[in-house]
Amino acid sequence: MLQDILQVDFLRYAFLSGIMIGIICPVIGVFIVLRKMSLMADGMSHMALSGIAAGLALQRYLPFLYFINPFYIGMLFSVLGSFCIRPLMKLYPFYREFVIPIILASAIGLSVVFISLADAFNKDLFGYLFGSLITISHTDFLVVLIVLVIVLGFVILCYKPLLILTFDEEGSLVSKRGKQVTDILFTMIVALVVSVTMNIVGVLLVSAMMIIPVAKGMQLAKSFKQVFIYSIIFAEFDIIGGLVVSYQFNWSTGGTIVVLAFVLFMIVLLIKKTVQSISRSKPVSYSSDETVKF
Amino acid sequence: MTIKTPVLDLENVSFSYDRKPVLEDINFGIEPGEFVGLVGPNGSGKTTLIKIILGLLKANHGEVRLFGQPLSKFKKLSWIGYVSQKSNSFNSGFPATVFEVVSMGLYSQMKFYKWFGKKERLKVWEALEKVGMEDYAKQNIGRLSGGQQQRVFIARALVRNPKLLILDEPTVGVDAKSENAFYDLIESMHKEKLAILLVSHDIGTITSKVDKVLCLNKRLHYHGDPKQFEMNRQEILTDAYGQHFELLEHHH
Repeated sequence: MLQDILQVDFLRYAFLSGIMIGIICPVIGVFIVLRKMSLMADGMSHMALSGIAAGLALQRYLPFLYFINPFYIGMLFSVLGSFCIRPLMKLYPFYREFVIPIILASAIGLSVVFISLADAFNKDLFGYLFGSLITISHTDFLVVLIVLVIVLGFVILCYKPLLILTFDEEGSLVSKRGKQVTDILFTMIVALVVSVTMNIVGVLLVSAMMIIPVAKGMQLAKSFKQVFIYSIIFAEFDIIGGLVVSYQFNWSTGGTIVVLAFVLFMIVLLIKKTVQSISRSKPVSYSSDETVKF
Repeated sequence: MTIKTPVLDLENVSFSYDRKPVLEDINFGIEPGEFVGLVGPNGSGKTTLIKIILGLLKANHGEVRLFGQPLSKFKKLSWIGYVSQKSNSFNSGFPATVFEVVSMGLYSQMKFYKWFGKKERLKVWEALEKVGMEDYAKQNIGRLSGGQQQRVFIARALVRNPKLLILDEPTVGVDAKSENAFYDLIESMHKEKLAILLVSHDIGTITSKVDKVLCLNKRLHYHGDPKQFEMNRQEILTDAYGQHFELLEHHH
């Protein structure tokens, strides 16, 4: 296996890209989960799919546009979709969540129409849907690298406003413009991450990669910084483990990664419950605060 | 030059939601180091007034000045510490420690490229000590009691070293013992010459502590000395709360 990785180009790219995605996804995922935007990421990944389908259709009917990779159109659609979701949510402030199914259904509808236009019900499409090792080229690898740099730069530079907005918007006294700028940047970055992750785990499993490692991290972390650290460790384990297993047994890459992530999630929950029930037999420190005045 | 600029100054401020007037012709000021209590029934526009002062809402008429500067030009947001009503019901599952929450109070005044260093950490510890929560620094915020969380949020406001502290209904959902501790804490900050604007519907407790009482219901029904307020209490309250007030008080 190791020899294969060193010798076969696409495998090497797949692994390196996977390792980078294992950093990108949880870093952005932490903010997505804590801002309660998990479903929005799902909506955006489906919009990305319709963008890709549109790109495939475009290539068929306007062949001189061959240089436009469908992948970039997917990215564009994903951003457009996120900018649709927010104003729609504001229209129905009390039933915000139903905006997501509207976007999801429309995005899938659009995708299917474009795919049929492109006559692309084939193996390539399967790769976009569920991820594939073979689709990772040298260019894709470079794109992931660039996105990694952008994401890390963004989170490091905007860490403070991001954390404030995530924790509580009202009590933070941030200027409205600062909040809007951070919000728009954040949405665009999510679209970027969605499109890039799509290449490895596939459209339908992108949001899982952003959410499941963070869900595990939150179970174990005691502070906000620890959430990042644990989530990245879990994501790396899921992705590298998933890649190895899927290569070894010739399973679908995306599916294997997500199933592994889920199984690990269950194990983490189980371990935590066991630890809790053991420590519950001893007095817990924070429940014996009688001496504190306030 | 000897005249001190008021910390906060409102002149003929009016505000309406969808043409329905919420605030009419509000005039008052807060001097440096002054402790002002703002009382009024539910729906009297207290929170709206606070939002206008913080620049979260824009007044339809009149002017708000902070430290002598019109609100639109006021940039020193770090001079204001704010503990919102919502702090009571924030996302309590948030995986952050007490230390991290208090640190966030500094974030909004720091430039994004500035590193959170030793100096900043020291400030956070000082704020935690002021509210007596230094032993809880590493605890998860969601695991504290309501009163302890309230203290942490006050520390988050204090860490900026503000000149004006605005507290919106801080004792809601906090037991009586914690409430006393809270007023002790506020009093000690008042002694340190911090200007405080405390919003509450608990009239009895407030009038015994503050320098100045504001009684709000759409407009200011009383503005001035708490002793005077106590003497004419029934009149002012009937004026502000309407005839239903008697009913309200009997419930207590």
